[in-house]
Amino acid sequence: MPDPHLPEELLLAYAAGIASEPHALLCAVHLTLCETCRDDLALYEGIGGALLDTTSATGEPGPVAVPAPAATTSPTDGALPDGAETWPRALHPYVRGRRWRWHSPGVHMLTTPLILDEMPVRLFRLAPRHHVPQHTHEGVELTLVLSGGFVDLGQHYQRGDITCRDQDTTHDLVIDDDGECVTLAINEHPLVPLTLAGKLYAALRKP
Amino acid sequence: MAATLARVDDDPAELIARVAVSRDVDAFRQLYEHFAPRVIAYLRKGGCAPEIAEELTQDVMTKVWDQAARYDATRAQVSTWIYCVARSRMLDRVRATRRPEPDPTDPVWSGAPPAAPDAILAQARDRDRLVRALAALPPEQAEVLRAAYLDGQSLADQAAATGVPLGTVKTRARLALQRLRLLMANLGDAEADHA
Repeated sequence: MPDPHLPEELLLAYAAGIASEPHALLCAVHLTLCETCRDDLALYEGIGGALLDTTSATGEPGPVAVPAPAATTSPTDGALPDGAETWPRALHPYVRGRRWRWHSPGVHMLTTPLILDEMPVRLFRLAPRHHVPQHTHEGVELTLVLSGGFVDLGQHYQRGDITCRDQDTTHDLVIDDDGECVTLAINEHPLVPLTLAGKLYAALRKP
Repeated sequence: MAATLARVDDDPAELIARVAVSRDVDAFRQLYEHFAPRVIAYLRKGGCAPEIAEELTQDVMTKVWDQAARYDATRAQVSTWIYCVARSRMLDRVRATRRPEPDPTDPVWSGAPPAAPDAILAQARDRDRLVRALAALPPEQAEVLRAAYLDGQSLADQAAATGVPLGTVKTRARLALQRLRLLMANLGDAEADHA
């Protein structure tokens, strides 16, 4: 399914249990906010069930026994950053104890401990009417709107929506004028600026 | 081989209900004989050592026994429920991968109504429909799904392993999912017409 929903390939990987943790986080956050994709996930997990049900490979089951206690993940300490109360809970463990930091004019950034292809998964908080200069990407960039909205390639994106941009796309975006916009961004590679302003922006954007 | 497997003659959802309501050991045995070998095979393919696969399978089937009352037949088929439990165990214990999950009790849980609201219900009611739809897929499309779900191979892994261009593998996955979604949506519409 195209913008503004989860890319099919990503939801398939999530249903199959093979999505990377950054991608799984993006799925969990979007699924909290999107009934359409929850419906698709039910179908995709149904496919897993049907494949399990009809697999011709079999193993020898033993007698029923008491299982070992499940592994638990330790909770992270620290307060949630500003605005987090409006974000899906799935995101909370990754932002707890982390702070918004000034990044460039009109932009604050929050870095999560998650890393994909050497690029950290980050949140951006962008001022109203902020303009992100024209750029493209070496790899795929996935952006999810946590609050507020922006216009990109002539389309308006708002809370829960996802944009997926790759090396074949050149774009810039403009934040709505009625409030800040917070996004969750997953980049496979750094972006490639096309203008002088964009180059300055990219230099600032480096982790 | 598939032919030698124990068959679930009764509807699995009915068996779960018997386990939930009356702790029916015979119903559980039928579920166990059908699903445990398949869960073991799934975990083995996912990279579990034999003894780990067996231990986790006991864990999965114990959950089926313990939480039968929480199974919701209107949400998912029994095979889907068991698949999701097995997937979770494998990620926890074998791949040590954290998998963030959407939380239905989250205060910000939201979303517009789905485009095809009857699709899930229809799927839950007809456990054979999806199996038949999968069997009717072109073999190369079915293989992409099988390798992803059962062998744990990403589309990029599959392209690398088979020499088929990644774009082709992605197209096959997309076509397969489109076809299955369309079929389930149509089924929902057809059932709504009969209601």
